[in-house]
Parts: sequence; structure tokens; C-alpha cells
Amino acid sequence: MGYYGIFKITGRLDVREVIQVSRLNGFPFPFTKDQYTYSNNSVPLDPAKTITVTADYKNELELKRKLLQKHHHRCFRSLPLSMESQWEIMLLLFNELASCNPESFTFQKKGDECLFQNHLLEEEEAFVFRDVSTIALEPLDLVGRHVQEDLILMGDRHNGLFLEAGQLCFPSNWSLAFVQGMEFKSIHNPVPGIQNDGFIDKVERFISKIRPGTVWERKNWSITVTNMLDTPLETYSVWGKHRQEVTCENAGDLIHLRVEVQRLFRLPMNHDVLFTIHTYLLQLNDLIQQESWFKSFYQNIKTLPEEIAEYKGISTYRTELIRFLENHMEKERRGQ
Amino acid sequence: MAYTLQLTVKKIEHETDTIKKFTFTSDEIPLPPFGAGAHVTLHLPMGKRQYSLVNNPLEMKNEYVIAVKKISDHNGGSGYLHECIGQGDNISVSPPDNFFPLRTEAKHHVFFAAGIGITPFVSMMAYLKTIGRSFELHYAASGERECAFHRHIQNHFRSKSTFYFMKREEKIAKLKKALQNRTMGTHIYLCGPPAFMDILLEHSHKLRYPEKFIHEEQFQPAVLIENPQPFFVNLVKTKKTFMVSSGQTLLDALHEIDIYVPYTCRMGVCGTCEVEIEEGDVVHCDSFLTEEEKVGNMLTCVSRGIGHIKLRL
Amino acid sequence: MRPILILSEVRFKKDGLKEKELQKENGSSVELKLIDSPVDRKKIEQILKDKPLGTMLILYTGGAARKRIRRAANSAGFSHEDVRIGKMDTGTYCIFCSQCHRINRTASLEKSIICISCGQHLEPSNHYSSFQDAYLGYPIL
Ligand SMILES: [Zn+2]
Repeated sequence: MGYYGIFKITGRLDVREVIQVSRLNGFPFPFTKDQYTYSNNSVPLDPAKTITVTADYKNELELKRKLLQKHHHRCFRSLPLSMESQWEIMLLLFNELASCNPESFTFQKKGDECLFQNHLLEEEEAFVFRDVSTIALEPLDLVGRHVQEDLILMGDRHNGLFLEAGQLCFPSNWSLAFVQGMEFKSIHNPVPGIQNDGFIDKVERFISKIRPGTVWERKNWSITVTNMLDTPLETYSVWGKHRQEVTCENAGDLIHLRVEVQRLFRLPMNHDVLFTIHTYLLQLNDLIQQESWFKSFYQNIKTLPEEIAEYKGISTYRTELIRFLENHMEKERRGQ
Repeated sequence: MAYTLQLTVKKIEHETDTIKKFTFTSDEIPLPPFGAGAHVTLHLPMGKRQYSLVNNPLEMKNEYVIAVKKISDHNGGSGYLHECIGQGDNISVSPPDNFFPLRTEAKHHVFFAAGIGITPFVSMMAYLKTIGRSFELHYAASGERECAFHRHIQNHFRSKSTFYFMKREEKIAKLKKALQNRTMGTHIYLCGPPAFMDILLEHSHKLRYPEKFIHEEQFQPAVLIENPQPFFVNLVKTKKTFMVSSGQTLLDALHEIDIYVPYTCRMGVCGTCEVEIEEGDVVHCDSFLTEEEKVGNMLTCVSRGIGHIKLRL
Repeated sequence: MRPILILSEVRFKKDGLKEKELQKENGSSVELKLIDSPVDRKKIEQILKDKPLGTMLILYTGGAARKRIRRAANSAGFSHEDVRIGKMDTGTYCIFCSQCHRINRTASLEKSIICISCGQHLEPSNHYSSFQDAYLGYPIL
């Protein structure tokens, strides 16, 4: 899948076109119903893959590494207890990269001696499994620099799930520094209407029941008024103000549908849970080119309950957004 | 985990007179990794049988190792493995699952085993030794000759292990004593016959140890129905009616009519196959649902209706 | 009844003693330890070591001491729910600055504050982290 696969098939297109095509083709459009519902819409994945390599691999890895370099304290956190699972995740992801994209990555393990080669970035990582003296970074921090996903480790403890380590470069308005060490339940505290019906308890129970070796996927969407992947709470004052700038004329340029493909995987060896988040952005101007997507998006925005709109940060410009979409609809109708 | 692995019996060793150790491997595929306390499910002619893995998860060399005590003739699972399976034979195995994981947050792990209940701890102790964590073992058996892994434990974990080969009364008194005076940060694990587990569980209650620090291996469903009876099911949402025969689980019957209820463990421990009961009496055989939850819900993999039940499906 | 350990800063001695009497009446075996602030980590670890399995810890401490003790207790094997905060008036709340991670003190969760480290105008929320022992402060633009 991904970069090379597309390139081979469409070898005569220029690079910019390739990326454009893949962005629309590979975009994980999240809406299945024409009305907003909040539910645990997880589905099991077969084969059980935790990560995806897309055409944006190089660009995103460059950005990710820049953020890690500049704001390490913001983008990486870990508790000592997470070490064994961090090692397991590193093996798992290197293995998966290599077995799913053999032309781009190679991984060899002889006994505990490991060698990972990243042919896309022309790099290699040689290390001894579970020997910290052979790596310069913590395992999760290291392997995270070779995948596009943000990586969160939830420790499965006798009294619940706890966020014990994370490499988070592309969060949607949350702070890893604040939630590290927290129970799963309290991390999700502020989603409106969620505490009341025990929904989060059910989700936690669902996660704690995930069997070793299986992957569950759900898509979570939001809207951003930037084309930036990195929208942490820490820089809200920088990117948050763009919410005021939306008009029904510029909405198509400014507004992006942001979809997080979230996958949950039970680590077989340490019994903790790996949570991967792959973030995709699609500009509204691109989105409305697909008629079915446009319709579905419009219906969902229109039926979104006010408190959810507030939670997702859409309230400020919802009127402008809806007007933009209705104008587009009108144009299409006249055009036909 | 619907898929199975086709494995070859690489080695069979006598552990004691009645216990054999089986090593499975594959030349074609890498075996999925597993954690300490995990088990594999063997697909045998008489049905599925689960056995704990005894090898060290960190030193797994594409092998699964189990130890089986012969408790039946060749018509039962253990007898079949002892009498009908030989080196080089092939066998279908579901990938490892784990309902008895180590609580890695513990400062100190204390294992209580009786008889063949030692198997998960063999793997756990090897793992903890590799990662340098503190543990101790209390192991009851009828005698040294009948004691599986006795030599292995003496060789690798001698200073951390206590064996109990004495008479029953004395054994119980000593095991209870070993349970006493435990401190915060300790997690206690029990594995053995029901009577052994009950005695230690009861004693731990008496000592006021919170249940969250006590862990039991659970292989068998909480209740086994001796003579399963057929029953009728009404699905109120999809408006279907069908019969579950005596040899069938409700889960299988639902799948047969294309009502897909997700499942994983098939032994009433994981709770995935839960459905809501609209009406009717149910024999609950799981060890997952709370008493309150059992009022309106059931696990379709092990529990059965009586006569006629209605489900919200 | 579970054994109970009460850790109290000297300034909350009265509250600690009251708790001790209350728990005694309930039939628990109770131990009360008074500690000086700032708390010494080694000393806390010593106090928390080898407590009977099932011990409940009740804290009459505020601020940084509470966070430190809670973390020491968690590494000593106390679960989150084994550590309770006693009823006392510390007079302050901790606000975690979402922009620079500085923990600010404030007398009220109702009023917005200015972060003493980065100067950001913050609105305290009810999103609480027991790990940070602080409430999240959202930026006001
Ligand atoms: Zn600040």
C-alpha cells in the first residue's frame, strides 16, 4: 500500500498529481450516517494492522521530528513502568512496517540483535532488544520517528487503564503533559453528555476486553481552521484565533475536515494497550468535489447538537460554514 | 481470533508419571508472541482444550510448550494427547490468549500452585526472572515424584520456592500461614483445583485482603451444565425464532441464522458476546457478568435459556 | 475493616486527629503520622514501606506535598482508590497552565488567573488530574 503502490500504477502522473489522487482516494471519510451520532463505532481489523504508510510519509515524518526536537517535553512523556511495553511496541511496529511495506523497510532480528532499515529516509536503527544502552531515545520515542501515527500506551492495571507513555505530535486540542499518568476515565472527562449514561465506562470495559493480537479501529472527526496537523492545546493561542476568521466566502480554503483513524491493539506480551492515531486532513474545497461526501458532511454539520459543536470547537463559525455549504449546493443545482 | 495455526509436535517429554510436556512448532510461520500466563487452545477430535504455556515469553524460539496431566482415557482431551499424539504429528492450535496476565505494577508477586496448576507460574517466574522482578512460589503436590517441574524449579528458582508435600491438614495450615502478613504492593496469584483455590480465597478474605490484589486462573466456566437442554429463542428486533439444540451454544445458533454477535473467549470470561434479555429464564454459566447485570443480560457463548426466551436482538 | 494510615502535615494536625478518632470508632486499626513540610521523599518512602496488604491511606496534606506523597504511595503499591484526601481547607487550588505546564495556585476555581510563568490568561476547568494534583487551565484568547 501507500507511496510506491500508487506510484507504480500511475507512473506517468507527475508527483503533485499523485499526492492529490491519493489524498482523496486514501482519505478515511468518517460519516456513515446522514446524521450525527456519538457511539463506540469500533470495528475489528483483519489483518490486524496498527499503522498505515501513506504518500505523506516523508513530509509528516519531517514535521514530526522537528516538533520532537523543538518541543520534546510537550510531545513525549513516559512513566518508568511503561518500559517493557515500549520495547514490545518498538518490535511490533518495526516488524509491521517491514512486513507490510517490504520495498520501503527491512527488519531483521537474530536473537536479541535487531536491525531496522528505513529505505525511504535512508536510515537504520541497530539495537539490542531490551538493552537501553543500545538506543539513544526511549523505545516509543524512537519507533515513533518512523511512523506517521501518534502513539499512546495505555497500561492495563488491576484498577483500570492508565496513560503511561505517549509520543504525541499531532493532537487535536489536548495536552499530553496534562493527561499523562491519568486514568482512562478522567482523560475523557470533558466530552459533553458522556459521563451521564456510563458510556465511557462501557468504552473502558470494551478496551479492557480486547484480546491479544487483535486490532479495533474507529474514526474520530473534527474540524480545524488551519492546515496544520499539530494543534496541541499548548499552542491554542496561535491556531485557535483563526476560528474567528471564517466567512462564508473563505470557508472552503480555511476549513479542513480532520479525521483521526484510531486503532487499539492489545500487546500480547505485556498485556497493555497500544493506541495509534493517524491524522488526515482534507480541505473543504477538496471535500465538496465528491458529491456523496459533501451531502453527508452537510447533513452531519447541520444535525450536530449544540454542545458537541461547542466541544469540537465549531460553534464560532458554524453559521458561516453552513452558509458556505448551502451556497455550494445552490451553485451545483443551478449548474445542472 | 478466528484463525488457527497448523503446528507440528516437535518433542514429547515425561515430566512425571502422569504429566507429559508437549513442544509445538512450525517451519512455515512465525508463532505469534504471548505473555506470561497465556494459554493456547488445541483443537482435538473431542473438542477444544486449553492449556497454559510454560515457556518464557521473552525467550520463545518459535515454540509453544504445554504440560498436560492425564485425567481421562483417550476419549478425553488429556488422554488423547497422552495416548494418541506422537512426535511429528500435526495439530490445530488457536493463537495464545491470556486471561491470567501478570500485574506488572506489583512490587512483589506471590504464586500459590497446587498440582498441574503450576503451569502458568512456570512461564511467569521465568519472565519475572528475566526482567529482574521480585517473586516467590508456594507449590503443593502429593509428593516429589508427582511434582511437575520440580527439578526445573529447583534449578532456576530454588531460593524463591517452597514445596508442600506433607499431609493435607498440615499442608493447608502451612499454606494459610504463607498467605499471611503480606504487604502493600504484593499481588497474589492462585492456580489449582477448586478446593485449593476456595481455601486460600476464603483465607484471604479473612485477612481482609482486597480482591483486586488476588488473581485466579479461570479455565472452566463457573457453572458446567451436565445435560444441556434444547430451548427456543425469539429475537424481538429482527423478529426471528429458532431453536438451540442440546449440542449447540446460543452463540453458534445465532451465527447460523446470520445474526452476528461478536465473541472472543467462548468460555464466559471476556464478556464480548453479551446480549440483552427481554424475557425468560436463563442459566448463567459465565464468570464475567455481575449479579445485577445477569438480571437483564447473558453471555451467549456459555449461558442457556430455559424453555423459551426472548432477546433484544 | 481495612487498616488505615493517616498522613498529616503539622498544620492539619487537628483534622488528622479527628479522622483518627472517627476511624477508630468504625473499628479500624489506625496509625497517624505527622509530617513536616516540605516533605522529605526518603522519609515518606520509609513510612509507606511494608504496610499491611489492604491498607487505606488518608492524606491531610496540600500542595506539592500531596502530589509527592500520592506518587510515592502509587509506587509503593497503593492503588489510586487506596489513597483518599481528607476533608480539610487548604485554601488553594492548583491550576495546570495548558500553555507552559506551570502549576499555579489560586484561591478559587471560579475566577480566571494569569499564569505566573508565561503570562497567559487562564480559565480554570473542572478537568482534574490526580497525577498532577491540579485542574486544567484553558487559555482565554
Ligand atoms: Zn503558563
